[in-house]
Amino acid sequence: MAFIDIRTIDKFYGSFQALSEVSLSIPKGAFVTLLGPSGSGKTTLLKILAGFEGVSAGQILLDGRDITALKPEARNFGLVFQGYALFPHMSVFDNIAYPLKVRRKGRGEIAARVEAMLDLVQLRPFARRKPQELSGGQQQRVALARALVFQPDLLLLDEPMSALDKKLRVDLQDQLRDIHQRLGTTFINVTHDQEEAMHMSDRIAVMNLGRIEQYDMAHTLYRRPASRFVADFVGKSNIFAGTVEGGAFATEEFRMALPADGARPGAAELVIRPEDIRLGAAVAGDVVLAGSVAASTYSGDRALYSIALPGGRVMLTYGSARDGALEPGAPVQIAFDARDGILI
Amino acid sequence: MSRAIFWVSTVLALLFLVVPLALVMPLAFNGSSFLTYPMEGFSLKWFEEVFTEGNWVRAFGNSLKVALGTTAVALVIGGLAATGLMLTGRWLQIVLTGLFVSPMIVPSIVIGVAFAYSFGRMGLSGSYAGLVLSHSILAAPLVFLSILTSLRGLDPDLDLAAASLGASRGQRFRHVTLPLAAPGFAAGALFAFTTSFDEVVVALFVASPDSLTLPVALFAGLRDRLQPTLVVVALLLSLISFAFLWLMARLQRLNAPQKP
Ligand SMILES: Nc1ncnc2c1ncn2[C@@H]1O[C@H](COP(=O)(O)OP(=O)(O)O)[C@@H](O)[C@H]1O
Ligand SMILES: [Mg+2]
Repeated sequence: MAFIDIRTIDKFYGSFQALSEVSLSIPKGAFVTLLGPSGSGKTTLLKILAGFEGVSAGQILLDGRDITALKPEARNFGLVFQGYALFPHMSVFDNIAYPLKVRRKGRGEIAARVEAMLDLVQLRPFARRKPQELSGGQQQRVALARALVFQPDLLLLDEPMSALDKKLRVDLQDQLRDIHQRLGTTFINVTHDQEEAMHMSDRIAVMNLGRIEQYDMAHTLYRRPASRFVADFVGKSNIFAGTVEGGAFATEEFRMALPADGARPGAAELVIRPEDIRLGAAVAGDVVLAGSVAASTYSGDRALYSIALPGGRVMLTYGSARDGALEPGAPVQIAFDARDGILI
Repeated sequence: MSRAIFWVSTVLALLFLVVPLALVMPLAFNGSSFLTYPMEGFSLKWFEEVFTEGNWVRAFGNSLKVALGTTAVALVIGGLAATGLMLTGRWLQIVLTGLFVSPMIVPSIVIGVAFAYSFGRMGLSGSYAGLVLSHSILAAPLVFLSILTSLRGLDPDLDLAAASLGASRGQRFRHVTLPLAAPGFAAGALFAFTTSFDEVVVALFVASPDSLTLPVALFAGLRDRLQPTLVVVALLLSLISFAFLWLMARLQRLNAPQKP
């Protein structure tokens, strides 16, 4: 049975619907990420889980118990805010000790547990500092320690990395994943960064316009996107609009036989990932197209090319860049296997 | 050119404000018993008279008691009003703010007459409690506004964070809201004290000869006998006000966000 069961939640702000029929079930100890663009309703869902907002319809169950109407202070959920929300008048130690103090724990127990948390997030030397005297990454770790010290049933994180620079972000992602594995607490993380989501989570719920578009493992999300939105938002992709007819998919540029026969006739879209496209080489049975290099982004290990096709469409693909990137304007041939395409 | 205009107008304004005070103040040290120039020698005897004469000392004591009582009552009223207001919706906030600050708009002579009349019927005329109550009505809006400003400046996520960490509403108020809004409460207390301490109009209506406050005694003395003691009292009142102004400025500096 699911540990957290979110059942068909609707949320209205006046006449604006911020969430529509959101359902998720989350097993105990999982690391789930809510991924979506800004305004897709991620924070709203997190606030409902934390108890700061009520629902317009639907239920939340924790271990089978209905907690939809429970006050935030009675939920025992940890929460890491986007801006960290550390108490500026308390030291790092007192910030982390706060949840234990309101639970009336003894001084000895508080000291021992706060110190264990300080070790976990590697901030022991900073215990006496005020939050303002720490860097962004350190503040974020204090917020994390404070939200975990009382052993919450669930940890909610609202874009915890968004204020940090890229290098630090990757370090903290590793640390966060490590802490999750060590503690075994259930984590729900919110982000608009698909790399972060892929890097850390067991499962990802992709949100768009207040709905969950797809809830799956990262690999499934990437290889089998359920909608055009997911294909577009998660990873880079080339999307062809066309029609399915008589076991084949046809667009302006090409026509190809479909491998599986399950495809329904009618309008459809075909997604080809850039890494599935062969640049300059072709294997028997490939769809082969000719074009020219429109732009290239060289990144040392490889280059990302935009290839312009005669019809005006631009395709993304990677190429080896050992001898430097191809010049813009160079004529090239691209090819891909129809079986690598994803029909949606 | 515009700098010159700025300086000339600043200096003129300062002269206008300061010269009358500067002209009167030395008379506190006059050797003779007249409030006129030229001064006849230097003397501290008027200070001595103020400090030893029962009436002035009693009036000062009354003022102090009333101002402290007003501070306490206005802090509770204004503090509750501001804290409660933060929990209501936007439209109710606008309406309630208007109601809470209305004593600032009503002329104090109207408030004085109203209190004199209603206290008379309630048997509070001339009492210490009556004075404190009427001054609290004048001071509460100032306390309310300064605490409200402080509360509005708080990050709302701090309260949510404390709630998610398990703190009840009361614990959140004591541990998070109150300490962070403390400068607002302190400024409100100072406002309340000074408002009451130099208030004349309402006190004229409400005070009795026994509960006479310093400004009212000064006002009465002005009609009775023009003596340098009046200037001494005025000087002392001004010094106390300056002290409070200075305290307020210190507080504001504390309240300003600290750069890490
Ligand atoms: N308190 C509110 N009142 C009205 N609309 C809101 C409120 N909170 C959020 N919204 C709207 O709900 C939508 C989803 O917001 P949010 O959950 O914050 O998105 P995200 O966190 O994914 O960026 C947005 O369009 C936002 O404008
Ligand atoms: Mg958000």
